[in-house]
Amino acid sequence: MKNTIKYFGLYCSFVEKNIIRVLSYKMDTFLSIVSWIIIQLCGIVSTWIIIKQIGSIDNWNIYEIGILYGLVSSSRAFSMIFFDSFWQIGSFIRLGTLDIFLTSPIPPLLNVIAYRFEVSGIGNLLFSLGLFFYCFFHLHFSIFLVLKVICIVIISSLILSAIFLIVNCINFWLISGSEVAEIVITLLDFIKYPISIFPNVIKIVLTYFIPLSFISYFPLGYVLNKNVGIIGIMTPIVCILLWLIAIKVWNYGLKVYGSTGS
Amino acid sequence: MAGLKKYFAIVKAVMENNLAYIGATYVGIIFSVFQVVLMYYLWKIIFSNQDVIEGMTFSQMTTYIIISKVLSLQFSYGIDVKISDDIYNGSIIQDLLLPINYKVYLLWHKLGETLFFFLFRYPLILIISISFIGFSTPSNFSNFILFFIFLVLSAILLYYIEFIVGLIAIFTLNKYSVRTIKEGILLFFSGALIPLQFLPDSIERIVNIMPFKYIISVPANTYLGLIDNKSIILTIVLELLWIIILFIVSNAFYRYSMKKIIIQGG
Repeated sequence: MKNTIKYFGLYCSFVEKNIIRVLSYKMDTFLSIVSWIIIQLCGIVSTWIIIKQIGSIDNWNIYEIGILYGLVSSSRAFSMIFFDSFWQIGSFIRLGTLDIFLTSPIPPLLNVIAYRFEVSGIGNLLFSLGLFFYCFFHLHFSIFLVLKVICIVIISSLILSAIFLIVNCINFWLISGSEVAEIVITLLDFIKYPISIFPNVIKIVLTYFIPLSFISYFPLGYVLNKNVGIIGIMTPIVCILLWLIAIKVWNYGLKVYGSTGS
Repeated sequence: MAGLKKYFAIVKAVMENNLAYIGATYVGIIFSVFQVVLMYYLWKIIFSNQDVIEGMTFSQMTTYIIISKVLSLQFSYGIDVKISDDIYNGSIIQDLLLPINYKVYLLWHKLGETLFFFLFRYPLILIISISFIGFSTPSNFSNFILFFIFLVLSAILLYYIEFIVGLIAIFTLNKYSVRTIKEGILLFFSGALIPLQFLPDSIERIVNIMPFKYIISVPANTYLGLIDNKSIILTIVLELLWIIILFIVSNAFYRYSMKKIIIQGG
């Protein structure tokens, strides 16, 4: 318990330093926030224009699909803000930064997490908030639905970050591991739509192998009564499982890293 | 011929530089194929009740998806990336000291990059995508020739757009954000995300005035025979007009920004 408080205090001071670093480049910060909002706006507008042609796909109307999109973008946002340094594991290994983490008196994973705070995540977050407000306004608004969606956002962000950690651990074994990991980012586009429209291969991959559909489709489908079945309620369990796997893979990777002596 | 030798050296250097990162190229190809597959299944649902939407059939849409995806690949690259990289790490000073004009240097740089795309990126994506979802042949032979004319013109247009975007980096001193914004704007307004005829009429009218549609929407629709012969001549004239406007603007902007340039680090 004492350790937890100590680490939490340390994490906060890391975050504070990071914010100071970010704020010293005001133009950069502003532009990166704006750039993400523009990219996401283009995405949602084109999605809506496509779906408007028939009004709804698979019983999901455009506002429900908007929330689906918002879940993906908001979990990406939180993952960028809190866990973006997972994407630097590759360069930590190549540049030897990992050695510094291994010799410091705090757990290496905490050191990695506290290393960086990605501001462009704020742009993503602002966009997601706006999108959620817009969609809730057009759907039958209820405070319960909002609370449920907030819960889903928290769990989804953790699921996505766990997946990012696992795929970035490939760097321990492959030189161009980050490039392989980036394939997951492309798969995020698929879960912005109800995955029931895709053929079985894609559904199975996104449910069992890279369980990205637990970020948006399954939990939201469960909350909105969309016939996704009992699997929707499994989401928190999937989240815990993924983190257990992620930490196992990370520790195993560290062992491999140590033994090569690079 | 001897004068051209130094330019070929630039093209060769760009090709070799790109080949060094061939792994990233293959991952990029997987990216694009995924996106083609995604759009295919999405439009398949949309076309399940109707045969023709906005004058397009499903097989024409399939072809549009592949052409637009392949052509939009160049948006994440381009000479604006080169310029902003050079400014960011200060190596622009070496390029400015070269015995060739920087603009000419960049033109050949762009040529090398385009050549790399045609040799290594386009064929693979085309083959994989076509084997997944099929492709329709061009509507007729003259449209096929026109398609290539539009491709050449759009490369020139894109060169000037990228050049202007790259020069903006001199003022923002920023590496990623400006190019992300460029990518977003180009993807949406060129018709890479959705064919422009699907946009609401009021937006479509505005987009039609802008130069971005000549990069993807115009070549793809020409290939599919969706533009009638009368408006094709008008389209070419307007595109040439845009190229002249962008040429003048980029030249003026170049002269202005070279006075403002700050070399950092090195």
